[in-house]
Amino acid sequence: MPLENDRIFEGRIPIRTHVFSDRDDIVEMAKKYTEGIAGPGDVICLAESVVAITQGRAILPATVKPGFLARFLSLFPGKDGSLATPPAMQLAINEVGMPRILLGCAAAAVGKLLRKRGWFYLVAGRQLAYIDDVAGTMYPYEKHIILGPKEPQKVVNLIKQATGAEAVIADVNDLHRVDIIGITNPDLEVHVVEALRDNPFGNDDQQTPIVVLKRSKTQD
Amino acid sequence: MSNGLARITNWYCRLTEEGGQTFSEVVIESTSPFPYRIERPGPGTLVLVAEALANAHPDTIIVDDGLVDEVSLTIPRTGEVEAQVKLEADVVWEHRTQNSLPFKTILRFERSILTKIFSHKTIVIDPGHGGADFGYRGPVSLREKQVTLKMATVLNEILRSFGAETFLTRQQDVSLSWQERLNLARQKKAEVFISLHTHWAPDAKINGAAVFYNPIMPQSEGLAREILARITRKGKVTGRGIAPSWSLTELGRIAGLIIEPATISNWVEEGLFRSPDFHRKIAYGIAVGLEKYFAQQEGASYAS
Repeated sequence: MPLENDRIFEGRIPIRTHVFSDRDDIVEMAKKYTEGIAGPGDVICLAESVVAITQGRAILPATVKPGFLARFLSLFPGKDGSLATPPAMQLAINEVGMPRILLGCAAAAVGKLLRKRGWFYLVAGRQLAYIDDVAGTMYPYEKHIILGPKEPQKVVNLIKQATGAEAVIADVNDLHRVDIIGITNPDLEVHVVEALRDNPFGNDDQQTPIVVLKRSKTQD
Repeated sequence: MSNGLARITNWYCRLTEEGGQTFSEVVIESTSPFPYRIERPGPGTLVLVAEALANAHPDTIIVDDGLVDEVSLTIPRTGEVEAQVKLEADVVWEHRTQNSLPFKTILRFERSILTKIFSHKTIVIDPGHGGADFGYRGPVSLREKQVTLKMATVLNEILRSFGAETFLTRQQDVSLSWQERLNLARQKKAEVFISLHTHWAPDAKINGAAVFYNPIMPQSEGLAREILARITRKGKVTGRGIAPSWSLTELGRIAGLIIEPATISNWVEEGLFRSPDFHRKIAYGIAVGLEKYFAQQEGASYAS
């Protein structure tokens, strides 16, 4: 759709892809799907979950054995968010270690008293906020827990090297929250956030995990 | 942007409204305009043949919106892309373009056939449980009474957009007896009564959808089968089958169903029950199942 207001992008092109798996190379895929569309100045945006899936970070809950701590701590997060199931909490413990999780919980408890949200992730690690619990990702991965992508900055740098376009990995949800996880040109961040706010990556019916932001010609 | 030919980047189906009429639109997005022709290889099928390249992955989308069944994109040869639309019925259609980035080529189908099928049809939707009756509880503590109300609200909106007259047994978190729920269907002389529930099993591995029907209304069984097929296809859940429910017999000649679209005691399906996308898919599955049922009842020439 054409973007409103005086923004630096003249259009936003979602690209329908196949269902990615850990057999796909995300850099190759970004290059293939944006061929002839994205050039220097444009921005190739990738949904963080598909980057993680290509890195083999989609985990079936049945393969995770939650310990007592994971079972106990999973009782506390909001039930519509991540880490609400014991397997997801166990994977979070595996990601950053038990001490950091416990410190995060202590921070969350203090935050709750002061009515401040998000202190758990501040202390335990922002990457835990990118864990998608079961049913949090598009078909056929709705039965998986998807961890956050590994080395997102390295991935975007490789995509820029392969395509000549700028690259971004973003976590966008339907509540209009946009987190930029990796970006080749940080000066563009505020514009990219605005352009992705209504989640052009879409749901599983849309299957558009790659979006190209076309730079306005007047901005070139 | 490309060397000559436009590049098709995406395609999807959406519902739109204009001048009080609703339409199903198949939208093909591309980097620029492209020459195309439209072919009609048979009834209920329409093919748009484009001179373009495809960056989008060739694939089939199950739409199942009551009119458009599915849309497929294929690449017969380099420089040519075909978009095939399969329809439930032959209807009035038109094509248009929209100059934007991405450029849009739109096939538009009139949905008035649905309004005709659903006009003068009364459907009572019953969100199971409510108030002090919480229903079943999922492993991450989702309550059945919350899910049933959300699904019922979406189903109500969709059936109204199809042209049906609908009534909800409850719109808030209140307790109702089973008799009160059935009474509303009888009072309103409903054609169909739909009670929404979730399945629960002691074994958390058990999953899937089931539909129960009023055994003394013979057509109920076919309706249950049609709806189960639609919700399993649309919601991508396993079917646990259909079965008679004697609790529905008090409805007499009203087609009555108890629908369990998934199993709340299963972690994954509890997660599905939290998703508004899942609610919408299930609601469309039910609505399209009802459409088939009403069309058959009226002997409409349908499903070309």
